[in-house]
Amino acid sequence: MMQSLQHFIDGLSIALQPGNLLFCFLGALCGTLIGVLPGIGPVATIAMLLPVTFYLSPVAALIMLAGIYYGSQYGGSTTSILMRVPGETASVVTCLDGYQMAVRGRAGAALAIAALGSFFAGIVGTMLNVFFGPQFAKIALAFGSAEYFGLMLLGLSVSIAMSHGGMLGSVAMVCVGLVLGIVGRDVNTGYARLTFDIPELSDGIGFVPLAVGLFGIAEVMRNLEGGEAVGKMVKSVGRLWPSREEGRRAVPAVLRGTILGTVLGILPGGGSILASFTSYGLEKRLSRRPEEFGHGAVEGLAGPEAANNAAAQASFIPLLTLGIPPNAVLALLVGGMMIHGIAPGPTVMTERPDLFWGLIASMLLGNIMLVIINLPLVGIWVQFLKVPYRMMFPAIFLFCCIGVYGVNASLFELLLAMGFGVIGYGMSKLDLEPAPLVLGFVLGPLIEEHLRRALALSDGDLSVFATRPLAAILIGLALLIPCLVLLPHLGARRREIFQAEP
Amino acid sequence: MASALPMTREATAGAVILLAGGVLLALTWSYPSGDLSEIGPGLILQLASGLLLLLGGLMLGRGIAGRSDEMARVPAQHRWRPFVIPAAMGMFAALLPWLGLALTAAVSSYAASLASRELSQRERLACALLLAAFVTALFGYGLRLPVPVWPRLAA
Repeated sequence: MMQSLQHFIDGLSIALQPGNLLFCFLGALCGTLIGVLPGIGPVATIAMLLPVTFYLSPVAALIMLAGIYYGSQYGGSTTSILMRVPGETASVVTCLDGYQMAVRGRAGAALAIAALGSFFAGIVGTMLNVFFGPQFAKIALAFGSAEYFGLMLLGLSVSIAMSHGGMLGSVAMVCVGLVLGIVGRDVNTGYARLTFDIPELSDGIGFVPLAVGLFGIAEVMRNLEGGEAVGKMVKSVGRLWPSREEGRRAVPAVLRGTILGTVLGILPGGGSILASFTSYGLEKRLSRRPEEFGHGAVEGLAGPEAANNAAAQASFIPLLTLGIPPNAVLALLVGGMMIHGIAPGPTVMTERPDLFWGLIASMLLGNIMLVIINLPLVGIWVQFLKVPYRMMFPAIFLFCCIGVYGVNASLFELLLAMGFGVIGYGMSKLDLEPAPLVLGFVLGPLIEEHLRRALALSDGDLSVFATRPLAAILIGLALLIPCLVLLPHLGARRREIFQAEP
Repeated sequence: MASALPMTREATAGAVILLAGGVLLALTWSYPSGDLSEIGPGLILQLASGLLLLLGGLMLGRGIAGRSDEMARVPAQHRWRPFVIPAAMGMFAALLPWLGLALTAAVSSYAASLASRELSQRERLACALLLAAFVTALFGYGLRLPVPVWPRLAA
């Protein structure tokens, strides 16, 4: 514990270097901006900015990219509260009660509760990284292939259970993602799989064209189709401080949200979306006034806001210690680490302590900056909302193009992104979600690798997954979770939560 | 312009997934699958295509049973608009090696702006020029992306 604290203080001195501080600020600023702007999310942004990080030191690059990620969680709540437009998927829940509070003249209080709740959760999440990160890394070193396989299976299964669309469709999307992830030369045998003799495909499909296509291009296409959505914006923000009564109701919700978010954030496949939805459900169930939910219940805002930010911070734990990216944004961060020749995993902490602790310490600073960026300056962000989408989408389009091209200077990847854009648009028409696909894409190759290795070591004996206790527990949970959702009672609750969205 | 069959979303999705699974199975049929102690490069793909076939079939069945909603229809005259965006992206890829970053950015962002009917001609031009200037300065000169900024004039 004390040792961790010492490391953390060393990390702070790295994060406080002027250059790193600047990039932390830039990341937080950029994250807030894209969080506020609907139609562009952290996945597309980080993908676009990856080429830029070539020119930075690895520490500065990761600090900035991480800042964009958790910054977008703050920014996303502003639009949700003022316009009922979720800037980010994770803030869909915030629209429910946050906007209702704003309509009832409590916009300022809602913004303050969201920002302060996020801040508290962010700090707690960061400190958990400090104290539990090293413990996790120790556990991770004891992980064999069977355990890795189980863990990733659990991640996929959670993401399936929690996706908005139908379960069957989500499982299918995971499969499609897995197949896309496997395209290329097989590492073990050198066998070319689904490459169609295209040389560019022998190294596999790049993550950036996939992500930019599915999230960037497809999103622009979808937004254009409906004409322009005219948001009924709540004009006056009003007093920022919550009343005593609001504070009294918010605090316990924030505490519960933080705990829930942290636990769910650590789980691969979970992350902030899962955390905010679960927290909303929990608050509604615990509340003595469940009828207020959807009509401006403070708990319904405070809990999920805290949960999504806690989860955003906690999801760095599996990334930095196990090398498993729990969601699409962090998968891109892996790309950022790879650019600088760092393989994420339990060894990062020992081999690159400056990176590990510098990044974690920067999250503390970043969260402080974010409260300042988001609360007193909320007026500025509101101005950005007045920029009509028709003026914005050509810019998003162009940045997508340059971002994809910039990573490998490959024209082929531009065409891939174009194709995935069309596919993503088609998927949205059919109610199929891109998130499980992306997770399948990222985890698929790892799952295959660990399955092969585990079975090779056991000489083809499947009981290896049942006899190793940790692996058995993980796989059991992975199989159990989707079944739980199918139970009539819980399934109905799940539908109820998801249908509550606008 | 009403289509003949009122397909539900789920049935359509199921049909697409069924088709994808079938194509995948056909493509990977000949890949060596190995055995459990030495899994070949094909096994996972073959399992995935089997699962896709199963899921697609289930969704198609459920969809035809007709419990899900019908697909939302976009007015026919606007249906092509969103596809301007991927087309402009293809244009970007095609022009970049010849025209360099500055001109390609201007031309393709102008092309992309055609996707919205709510922009005036002047807005389109102003938007394209400003964006091109911005990305040329940032990516071409500032970050020195490995890409020619101007067209190569030498024949």
